[in-house]
Amino acid sequence: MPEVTQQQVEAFLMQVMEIQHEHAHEQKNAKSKRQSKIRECLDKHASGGAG
Amino acid sequence: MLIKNIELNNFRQFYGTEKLEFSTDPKKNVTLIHAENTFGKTTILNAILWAFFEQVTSKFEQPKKIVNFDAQEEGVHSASVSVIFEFKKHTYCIKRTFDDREQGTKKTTLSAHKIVKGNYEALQAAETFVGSVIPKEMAKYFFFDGEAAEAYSSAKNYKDVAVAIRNMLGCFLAERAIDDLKGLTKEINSELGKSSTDDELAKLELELQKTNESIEEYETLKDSTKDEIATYRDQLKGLQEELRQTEGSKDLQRLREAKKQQHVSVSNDIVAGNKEILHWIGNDAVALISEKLATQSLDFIDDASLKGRIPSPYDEDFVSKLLSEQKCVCARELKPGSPEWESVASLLKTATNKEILDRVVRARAHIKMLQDNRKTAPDKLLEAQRRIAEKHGVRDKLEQEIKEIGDTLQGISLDEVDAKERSRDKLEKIINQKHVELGAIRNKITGLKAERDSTDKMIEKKALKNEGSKKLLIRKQMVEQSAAMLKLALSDYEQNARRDIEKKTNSILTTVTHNHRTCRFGENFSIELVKENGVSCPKSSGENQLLSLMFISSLIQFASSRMNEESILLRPGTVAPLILDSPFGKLDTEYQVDAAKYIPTLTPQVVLLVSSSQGNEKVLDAVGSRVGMEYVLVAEYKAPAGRKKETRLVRHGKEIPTAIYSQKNDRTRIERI
Repeated sequence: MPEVTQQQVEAFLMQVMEIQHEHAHEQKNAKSKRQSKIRECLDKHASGGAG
Repeated sequence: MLIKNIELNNFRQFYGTEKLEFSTDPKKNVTLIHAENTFGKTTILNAILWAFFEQVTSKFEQPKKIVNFDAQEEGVHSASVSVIFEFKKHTYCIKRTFDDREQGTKKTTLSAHKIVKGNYEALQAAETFVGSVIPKEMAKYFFFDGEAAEAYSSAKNYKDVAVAIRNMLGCFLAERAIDDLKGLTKEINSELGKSSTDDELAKLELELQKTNESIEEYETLKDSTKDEIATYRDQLKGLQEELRQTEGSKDLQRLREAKKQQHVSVSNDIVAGNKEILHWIGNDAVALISEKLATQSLDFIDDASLKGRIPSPYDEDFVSKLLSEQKCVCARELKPGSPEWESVASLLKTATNKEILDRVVRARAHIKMLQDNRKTAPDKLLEAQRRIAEKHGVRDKLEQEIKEIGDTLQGISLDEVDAKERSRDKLEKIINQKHVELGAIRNKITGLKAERDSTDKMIEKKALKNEGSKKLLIRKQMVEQSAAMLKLALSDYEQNARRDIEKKTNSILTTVTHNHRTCRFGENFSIELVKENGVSCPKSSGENQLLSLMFISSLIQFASSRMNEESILLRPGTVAPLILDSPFGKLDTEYQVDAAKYIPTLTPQVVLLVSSSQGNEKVLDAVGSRVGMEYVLVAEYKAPAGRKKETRLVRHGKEIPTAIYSQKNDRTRIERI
């Protein structure tokens, strides 16, 4: 199967952390847009790379 | 951040409006607040914590009752706390209001304003703004209840230490990201199961999900077993130390029993010696006293013997035979009643017999014995006296030794020692058992992980046949790799932070204490006090508080050193006022003074809330040159004083009553000194 590149993972992670900072003041377990944003970001990075 | 002032409105025991201006002078950066217990020290600390985060400490009882009781009786429904502070060269005001007429989350509201040339400009997202000034997770180490400080260094609270380090490291966003990624993996797994028409793939997905759940359960079990082992180990360490302190007590006890036996034996010897002297008085002393009499008696017997008077020259048997035969030795007839018969019969009065002869022999022998005893009697007495004196000496020595052993054993109950030894043995068995359990759990996890990897490969193989599943697999791979990368990075940061904070705590300890003990973080973040020889030693209550205070101090320094942190994984540190409620509670006076000197150097602004027992003269002298503002909390009561004692605070030659009775309201006033 095609491997995910290190760059892809790092770029995705950076964006995940940016989302965390945007939502810095939310409760840890609060269901929010945060999770859906991360999913969108994942889809973007996965399809932009190997997907 | 520097707090300029706070304003309390009908907040708890503060009736009406009370203001408190804090010192912002960098050279006199301490605001000192005196208050006796229950007068409002903890309320001041909690008012600030509540204003920023709607949080309170565990000591703040009945946290939902915010509005002052007297104000409530007068129809007031709300209370508020405003804080005006400087942050990044600007001045801000935040205000939290509580209104008991509102429902649920609406009861409390927060507003934030930027103050520009006296104008209040409202800020949107007040909570977010507050979080950027001082993250909630870090705040509790700045606004700190000193009396609870001990908790950090007590062995069982190692988890709080780890959490504190992580909080000050600012890794809560990265931790939340890991949780989010974990949730995403689950989501993708579930999608994978549904993405194909292949029933077997769905089955494998389900299997994988179950295996993952089992791994999580066993991981939780592993952690709790490790915690249990750590707790048991701490208990064991404590017991071992207690037993070390009583080490030898059993031998000493046995020695004391032996000495007591010896004491009984020697006391018996003394009694026997005294009896010997009594015996001597009865026997040998008679020989001394009756020496003259004995000599005279013997002389008399010997003289009388020589003269034939003792015993009598006539034998009783012989005289009786003459009388019975009625014939004298001269052959004359002895007719009873005749003068001759009477004459011979009269000899019977002085005639001797065998018994008299025996008596004479015995008397002679006895007198002879008395004379012999006379020669040895003084030596016998001296010998008996010498032996008694010697025994007295031995007994005195034994009594001294028994007392000394008793002093050493004082306070040690051997029953308790036995019980502790039994507990220690039991704990060792439990720990061994737990290690066996832990080993089994680890094996189980290894097995489950192998199972998971194998299922994963099978899923991968099957999923690759389907384009949709293939895409999901790639996403899963990305998510898992990202989470692993984050965990690794956090672990590195955490290790470095731990080393840094340990170093800082030790550096502070060196400044504040005079002994050569250092602090060390144990495997599980427990704070240990270590002797010069590297052996960890148990901590007294005072040492626990000191270590905790030093730990908090190092956290604050650490947060300050991270002010300009630029890592995307971590939130930057902060500089905030250190507000300490009862910071010196259980510290020895010596440590109190050193801590009082040190604390003002920790951060640009320090607020110390002290009672009279904490703010003793030495402490106040030590902190005196750094005090920029000083207050006393005065309690007013509606009730008359009755038999209650008047309390006063004496500062700068002035006496200030701190409890006043027969007042209009029950409340606390803030009075500037």
